[in-house]
Amino acid sequence: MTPMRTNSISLSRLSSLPRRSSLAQRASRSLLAASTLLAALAAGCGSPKHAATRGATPDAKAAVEAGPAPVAPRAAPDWSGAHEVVGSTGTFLVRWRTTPDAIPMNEEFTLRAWVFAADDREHALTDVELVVDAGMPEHKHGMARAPKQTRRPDGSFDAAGMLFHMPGRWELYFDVVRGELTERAQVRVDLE
Amino acid sequence: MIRAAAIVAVAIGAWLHPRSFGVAPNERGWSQAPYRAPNERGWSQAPYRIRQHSPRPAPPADPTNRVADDPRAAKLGQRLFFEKRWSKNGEISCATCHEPERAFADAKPLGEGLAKLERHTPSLLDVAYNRWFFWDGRADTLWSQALGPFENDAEMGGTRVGAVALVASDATLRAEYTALFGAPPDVGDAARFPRDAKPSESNAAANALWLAMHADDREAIDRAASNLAKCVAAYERRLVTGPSPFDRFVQGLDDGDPAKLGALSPSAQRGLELFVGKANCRLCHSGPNFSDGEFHSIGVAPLAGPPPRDSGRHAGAKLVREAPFNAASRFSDAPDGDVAQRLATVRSGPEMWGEFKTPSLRNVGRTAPYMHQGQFATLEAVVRFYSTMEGALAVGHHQETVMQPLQLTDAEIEDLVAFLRSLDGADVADELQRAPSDD
Repeated sequence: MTPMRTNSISLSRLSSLPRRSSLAQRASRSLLAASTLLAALAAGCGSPKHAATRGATPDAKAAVEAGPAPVAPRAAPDWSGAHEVVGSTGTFLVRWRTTPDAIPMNEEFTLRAWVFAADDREHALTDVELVVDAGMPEHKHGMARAPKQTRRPDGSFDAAGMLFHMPGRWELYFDVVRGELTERAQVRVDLE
Repeated sequence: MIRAAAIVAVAIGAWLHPRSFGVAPNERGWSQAPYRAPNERGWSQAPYRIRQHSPRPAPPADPTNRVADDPRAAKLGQRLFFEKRWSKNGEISCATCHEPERAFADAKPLGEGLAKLERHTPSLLDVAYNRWFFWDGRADTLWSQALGPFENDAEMGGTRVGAVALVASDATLRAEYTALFGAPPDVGDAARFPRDAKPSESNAAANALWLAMHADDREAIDRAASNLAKCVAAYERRLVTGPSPFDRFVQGLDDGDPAKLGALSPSAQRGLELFVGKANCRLCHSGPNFSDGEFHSIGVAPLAGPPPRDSGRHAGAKLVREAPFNAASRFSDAPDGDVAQRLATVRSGPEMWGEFKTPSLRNVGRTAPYMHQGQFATLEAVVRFYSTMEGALAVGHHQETVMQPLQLTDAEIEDLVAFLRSLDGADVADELQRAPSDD
């Protein structure tokens, strides 16, 4: 029997340090915004100069104008920076992230996931089904919600209305179905 | 006594205070303060666990009720809350069970309107913080909750047609209603608008009268009744208590003010440690309202003894989805909003049999008896139940297993009760505890 592969993530630090995390998140968002802007400019969406004067901060504009010519016209994939977990039999890889970034205690959140073949992590699969669920094994209960699950046009999956209503150890379950194969990937989440 | 309390508070405060880590122990002259090394997260869990509960923000907005924060609606709602004429016998108002002098509850195990009810009357203090309403959460907004009791034949026994007729015929009520919503429906023709008509599964005669009405007339009555309920909710939203001794204590953790730290007795501070630690009450009683707002089965036996007959959330989940006045209904002012979206994710199933809503613990010292049937007369009895689980019903194989005997000592029970009593907030303003004074 193949042992279940489990990823573990502690969200307590992010969620338990509102002041620090908000600063960190702001900094992260700023970096993300700057990198997104640069990526967009590098991708050549219209005239770089025009784009720079339309939306860039003075610093970013200066960086673009003073920096080297764009060399990698490739935008980061949507799943860039997402968490990753491999399924129990090693067939699939699930990448996932939540909105907000840190799973909040007892507040609804949305989870977005992408499924890949474990040996091809560049192309999200579009011929699989995914069901997202969660529970607290120590309490033997699941979520108080049945999240609304939809497949997006790009093949990713959204689970809206997720709710971790109690602090403690949760498990996120990703059940990937393709044909007769069903594989579960699961992640441990410690919520403070 | 205050001095003693402050010393204990300082000792605990140093442990809880985030800034106390990595600083010289005597920076504030707290030479007695114990130093505790940060845990592997680089932070003590205790400060966050306490700060989760205080300060409490303002009540959440209610976009489903466009007059939720309109003072004119609150005034009309306050008038309606104390109005007896719309009950079947003309003697019962909302305040009959939600008595202002009893923390807007009735201090009885089971509510009593026209008949004895099956559940305990919950307090309305701080009700605006609730996510769900009724013990089984069969209402998802405060205003839709208000529509239930006044038509329930065991409570007020009124009808929505009768309520609208009362507003239409009373000069003050009519004027205040018209200022908010326009003129109420013309219900002067009692044959067209039978005063005893209402949709009811238990009152066939009333239901027949209701169904005999023209659909447009029913719609007009439903619209007006929902407007009235929104006014009652606007009033009830204002029943927010002031800061409690616990809130002052948490302020003291921030600013080191010994007077604020003294707001909790040494016993209550030990109780606080238990609450967020060994007893782990915070599992369900989380957040600033000391409730997760969700539903759990704690195994407490019905007043009449086992077996349990009240399905609680099992039925409530279905009822709220199908409720004609829920947040997604045409009577809601935000039928596509977050509350309506939440409805689509309500889970139901056999594991929810016998689950009831986690009540807030704010003001818990004033709202005895406790549980959904008032099974426990005192806070001490409640904590002793959690300590031993004696008499608890065995959970079925579908039910959650959150509840484990806490095995508290007598001293710990006393401390926990002392802490719970520190959650009583300052009462609401006097002018909210009676019908509007211009009557």
